[in-house]
Amino acid sequence: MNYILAVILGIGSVMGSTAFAHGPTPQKAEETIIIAAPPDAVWAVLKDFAGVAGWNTALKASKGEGGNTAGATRSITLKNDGQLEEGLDEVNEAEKYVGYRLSKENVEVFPVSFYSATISVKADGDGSLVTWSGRFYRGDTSNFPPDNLNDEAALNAMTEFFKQGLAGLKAKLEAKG
Amino acid sequence: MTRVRRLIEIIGAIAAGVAGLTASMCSGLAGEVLVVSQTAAELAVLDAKTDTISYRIKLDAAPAGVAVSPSGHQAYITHPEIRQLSVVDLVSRTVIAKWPVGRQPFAVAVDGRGGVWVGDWSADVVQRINVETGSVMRSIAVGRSPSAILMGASDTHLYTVNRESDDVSIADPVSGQELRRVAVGRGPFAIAGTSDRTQLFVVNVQASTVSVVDPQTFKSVFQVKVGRMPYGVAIDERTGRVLVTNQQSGSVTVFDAKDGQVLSTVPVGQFPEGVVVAPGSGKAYVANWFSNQVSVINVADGKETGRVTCGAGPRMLAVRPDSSS
Repeated sequence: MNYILAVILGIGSVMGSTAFAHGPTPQKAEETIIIAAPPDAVWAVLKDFAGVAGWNTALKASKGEGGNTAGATRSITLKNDGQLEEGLDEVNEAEKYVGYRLSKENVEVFPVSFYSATISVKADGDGSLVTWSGRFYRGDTSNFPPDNLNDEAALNAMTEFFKQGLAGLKAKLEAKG
Repeated sequence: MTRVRRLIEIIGAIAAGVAGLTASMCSGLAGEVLVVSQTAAELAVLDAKTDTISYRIKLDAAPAGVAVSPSGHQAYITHPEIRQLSVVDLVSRTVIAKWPVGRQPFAVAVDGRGGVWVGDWSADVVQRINVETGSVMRSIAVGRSPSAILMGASDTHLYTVNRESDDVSIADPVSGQELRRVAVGRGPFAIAGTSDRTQLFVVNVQASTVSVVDPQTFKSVFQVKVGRMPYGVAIDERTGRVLVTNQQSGSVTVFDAKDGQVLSTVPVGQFPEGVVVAPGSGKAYVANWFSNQVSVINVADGKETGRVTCGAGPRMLAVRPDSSS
């Protein structure tokens, strides 16, 4: 009886909380791209936390509150019309990186229950090297996730999101000439 | 696993233990750091004198927590995803038993008499497991998702960090009763304590703070602001310094245990998690989860002195004591 109750509570926790994620194995993704534009130009675009849909072509829209300081929030709308809420942890002007995390998951539109990520830009010859890395947990953090919410699904979703985003960033900056 | 196979493993364990005792008496154990790589599913044993990996042991899928027996002969490793506790003989360098445990066994600690305690992430209990039979000897209900366990001085108490209820449980390991809860910050994950257990240090992942708890008064005495998403904590008692890994900042915060004054912030690899101090060495070791490396830090001057490459996804570390000291 107690066991059954505990199982039910356990499932409830998985559905209701982004923080319930640490029993299973975290996953990682990292993508990079070279952009023919100076780091300062790339950085000016990247650090605009709320304006991410202006360069990330995996998104339809974005809006936010709190500017570019830690604690700011943004809501992003994916191509499938699903929405995710993200929180800004750090904008580091000196080292040119932005750290942020998922604050409200929606595994039906994006099969990841929690992520934290960093996007950075460094000089690379006359251009820039942009690196986007993330740490995340699958959509269903129980021990028996369905195929659409398992580690592979999460890894594919994050990797594809980073790739599309970086391609969009490159297109925007190189078009400016 | 069949009972027969278990029996064979137990017999093997006893044989290996006897052989190991002889070997260790001859060679003298060096202080070692055990590195568990979750993605690679391996245990790497790092020599704390030379800061090189001495040997590796292949493990079953997705190992997470690790603790070492008081003798240094065995390591206990949790596998939350396959509901397993692995018993590793560090002398024969083999996995000698695999016990099914609970629903998501995650945290693990060993008491002074060698009793092994496992925290179950989704069942909200801590259980003492007989590592020779796999049976549950005691079960203590604690807060939600116990992510770390610390034994009290002389094992009079057992402390658990409860990730999802934002508190620390203080339990009596003999009666199996939870005695008190102490509220800490949001998303507590790891714990360290002075050896007399008058101070406990609990990292709060979501709050980016460390709560310093006095277990005698059941109070959080003060908080220390650290970097983003702190995941690991260790104390170096020789210098009175506490080291905290900041997972999202890629750094380690070093502060004074007495007053919480931050002394330095040490850049390390990407997404650092577990941290341990090898007692008497003056060195701390940090698992850089994303970089697949272990950072070596000189505690006294707060400098990273080297990095050792290990298997993919290192998270948790444990110290194997130097029996010759």
